[in-house]
Amino acid sequence: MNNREKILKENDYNLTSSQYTAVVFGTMVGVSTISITKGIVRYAHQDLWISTAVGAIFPIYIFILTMVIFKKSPGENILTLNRKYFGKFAGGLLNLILLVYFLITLLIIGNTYIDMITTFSAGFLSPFKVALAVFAVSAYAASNGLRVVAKVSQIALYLTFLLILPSIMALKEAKIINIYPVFESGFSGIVNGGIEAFKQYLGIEIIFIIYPYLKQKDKMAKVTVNAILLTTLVHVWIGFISVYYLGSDVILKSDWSFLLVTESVTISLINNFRYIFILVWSLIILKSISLYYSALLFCLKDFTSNKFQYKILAFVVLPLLVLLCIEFENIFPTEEILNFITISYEIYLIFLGTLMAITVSIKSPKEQRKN
Amino acid sequence: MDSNSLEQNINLIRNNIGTKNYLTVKEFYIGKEQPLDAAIVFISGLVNKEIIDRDVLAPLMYKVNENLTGKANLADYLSKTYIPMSNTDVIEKMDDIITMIKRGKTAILINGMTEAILIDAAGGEARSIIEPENETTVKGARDGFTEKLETNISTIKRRIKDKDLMIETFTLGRRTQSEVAVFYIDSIVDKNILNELRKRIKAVDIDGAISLGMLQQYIEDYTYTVFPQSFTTERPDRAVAELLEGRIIVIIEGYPVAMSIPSLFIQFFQAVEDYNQRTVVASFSRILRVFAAFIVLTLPSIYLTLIKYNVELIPIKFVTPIVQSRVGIALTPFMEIVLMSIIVEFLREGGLRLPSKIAQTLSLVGGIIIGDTAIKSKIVSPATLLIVGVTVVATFLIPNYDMSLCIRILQFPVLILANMMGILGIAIAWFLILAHLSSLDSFGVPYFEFHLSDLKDTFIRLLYGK
Repeated sequence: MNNREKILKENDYNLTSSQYTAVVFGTMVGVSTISITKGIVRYAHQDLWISTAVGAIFPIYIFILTMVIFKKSPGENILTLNRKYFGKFAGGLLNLILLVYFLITLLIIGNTYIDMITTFSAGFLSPFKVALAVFAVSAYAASNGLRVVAKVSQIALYLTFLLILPSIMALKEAKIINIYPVFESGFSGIVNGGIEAFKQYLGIEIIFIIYPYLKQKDKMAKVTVNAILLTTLVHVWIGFISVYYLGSDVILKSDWSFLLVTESVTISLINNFRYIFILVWSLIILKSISLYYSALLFCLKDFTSNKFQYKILAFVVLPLLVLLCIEFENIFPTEEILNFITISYEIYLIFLGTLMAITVSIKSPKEQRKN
Repeated sequence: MDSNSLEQNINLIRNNIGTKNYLTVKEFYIGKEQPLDAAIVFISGLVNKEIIDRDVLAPLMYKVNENLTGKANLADYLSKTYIPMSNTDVIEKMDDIITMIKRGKTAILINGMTEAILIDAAGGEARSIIEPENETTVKGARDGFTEKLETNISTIKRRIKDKDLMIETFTLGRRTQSEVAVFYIDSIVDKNILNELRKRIKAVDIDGAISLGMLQQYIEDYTYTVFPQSFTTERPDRAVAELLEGRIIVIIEGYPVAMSIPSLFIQFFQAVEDYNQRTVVASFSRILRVFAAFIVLTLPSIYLTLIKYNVELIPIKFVTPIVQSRVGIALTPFMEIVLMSIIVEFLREGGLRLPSKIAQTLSLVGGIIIGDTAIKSKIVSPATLLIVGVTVVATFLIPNYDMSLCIRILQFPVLILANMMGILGIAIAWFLILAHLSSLDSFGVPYFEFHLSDLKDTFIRLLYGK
C-alpha cells in the first residue's frame, strides 16, 4: 500500500458524522417530499402535518433495530449478516429482495422526476433523454464511492433548508381557518395518515447497509437521531405550511402541493420562485438517485461476490435502469400496484430488521463466548 | 578522487562538465622553494570573479611564504590558514565535486592530492526581488520569489526561524539537473504525504524540468481533470502561511513560483489580503469570489434557458426590452453567447503575451469596436453582450489564475448542457461538477470537503483568536 492509499484509508473510506447524517437525511428527503401531503390528506385532512410527525415512528423503529444489530456486529452490514446467519441461499434471497427494492425505488424516483421536470420546465425533453442524463450522472457519482455521494448529500442538505426557508413567506398570506379545527380527523385519521406517511420516510433502511462506514462509531445513535429529527422537521413543516397556505381541499387536487406554496415567493428578477426551486430541487433529486444507486451497487457487489468494481457495475446496470424507467408505466400501470409494492417493502424492511436484530441478539453472544 | 594527478583530475572534470562548456581553469603555484602545482576550476558566469581573485588567488599566490611539500592535511591547512572565506569545504568524491561546480561552486585542485577545496563564491547576474505582478496586495509584503533558489530559501528562512523548518533538496532532470527544494515544518507536516512527495519527485525521470507546472503534472494523481491539483504562489508570505498550516512547499531552481502540497479547492479562492483586512471586509470579499465563480458558471446558462425555453418566467417588464433587442438577430441565443465568449477568450489569450502598449490597442479594438459593431450589425443582442460582459468581469475576481482559467473553461460544457436540456442541463452540470470535485484528492487529502470546524476560515474569515 503506498502512502497515498494509506492517507486515503485513514481519511477517505469512512464517513464523517455530518456526512453520515446527510446521507440518512438525503435518502428520506427527495422527490416525494414536495408531494408529501398527497396520500396523507385523504386520511388526516387538515391534521396531515400531525400525521407526518407520527410517520416518524417508522424510521425510529428501523433506527432501534439498526442499533441492536450495530451493537452486536459493528463491522458487518446487513448484506453480510444475512449470508452469515441465514446461509448462502436464504441470505442471498433476502439480499435479492433488497436489491429489487432499491431498483424499483430508483425507477420510481426517476419516473417521478421525469414527470416533474417535463411538466414544469422542460416539456421539450423526451423521457428517454431525461432518464439517460439523470441515471448517467448518478452512476458517475455512485461509481466513485459512498464518500463522494455523501459529500454531495452534505451540500444537498444545506440546499434543502435554503429552499424550504423562503416558504416562511407563505405564512403571511396563509389562513388560520385552513388548519382549524385541529384533531378533527380524530385519532384513527391521524394514525392512518401516519401509516401513509411511513413511505415518506422510506430510505432510512440505507442505514442497514452503511452503518459500518461511520468513522466515529460512538456517535452512531446521535447522528442517526439527528438525521431523523431533521427529516421529521422538514416533513412536518412542508405538511404544515402546505395545509396552512393552501387548505386540505386544494392539496387533495394537487400532485406537488409544496410547489404551489413556493409560488408565494416572489423574486424581482424572475417571475416566480419555481424556476430556482426546480433547479435546486433537481440537484437534491439527483443526490437521492445517487444514494439509491450506491445502495443498489452495494447489493450488486454482494451478489457478484465482490468480483466487480463499483465503476463497472454502475455502468453495466445503467442501460437497464434507463430502459426500465422509460417503460415504467407499462411495468407498473396503476398507482395501486405501486402502493402495494411500497407497503410490501415497508413490511419487508420491518420484518428483515426485526429478524436480524433477534438473530444477532441470540447468536452473537454465543459466538463471542466461542472466541 | 581516484588520482592525485592534477592534469588527470582537470581532464576528468572537463569531460564531465562538457568540453565545450565555459569552464575556467586557472593554473598557479602555491608556496616557496618547491611550489605546488594547483588549479582553480569554476564555470564562468556562475561565480563572482572578484571574490576569487581577491580572497582566493591573491592569498594563495602571494602570501604562502612556506614550503608546503609533504605537509599533512594540506587542503584543510590551506583553507584554514590562507583562504579568508566563511564557506569552504574539503571534498574527496569526484562526483560531488563535479555536481558542486555545476551549481556554481569553485574547486581548488592541487597536484599530489586526492581532495579538493570547494569554495562558495557564487555570483553571476540574477533578477532582483520585485513585487509579484500576478499577486499584488495593498497591505501585504512586497517581495516575491525570484529565479535564484538561494534567494528564495533565504526569503523563507527569514520569515520562519523555527528549528523545525526543514529544507530538502532533490535534483530533477537528467540534463538540466535542476535543484528542487522541498520545505516543511517537521513537527506539523503529515509524514505520509511527505514520504509520498519524496517518492514521486524521485520517480520523475525527464530530460529537463522546464517549469514548475511540469513538475505539478508529473506528480499529480488526476491527469484529466480541469481543476488545478496544486496551489502555486509567487509570494513568500503566502508560501510561509501554507507552511504554517502544515503543508509542503516545493520550489524549483530557475522559477519564481512555489507550489503547495496538498492543496484544497477552497484555497484557490483565498487571497493574502483576506488576512490583512478587517474580518467583515475580508469575509465579504470571499463570499463575493465564490459568488463570482457561480456567476461565471451559471449566468450565461440561466440566461440561455430563460430566453430559449422558459420565457414565461421572465417578468413582463424585462420581456419587452429583451424581445425588442433581439428583433432581427439571426443567430440563436446559444450561438450568440458562445460566439461572444470565444471572442473574449481570443482577447484574453491575445492580451496575455502582448506588450502593454499593443495590449491597449487590443482592448480598444476588442472592447469597444467589436462590442459596438457586433450589436450594430445585429450579430448579438445588447442583453447577451451584457451577460457575457458580467461573466468576464466575474472571472477576474477569482484570485488564482489556474482556477480562473478552469472555471472559464467549465462554463462552455455547462452552456452546451443548458442548450440541450434547459434547466435540467444546468442541474446536471452542477451535480457533475460537485461529484467530480468530491471525487478528487490531493496526495490523499480530500480536495473538496467541508468540516464544521474549518468553516471559520473557508467562505468567511472569523476574528483572530476566536
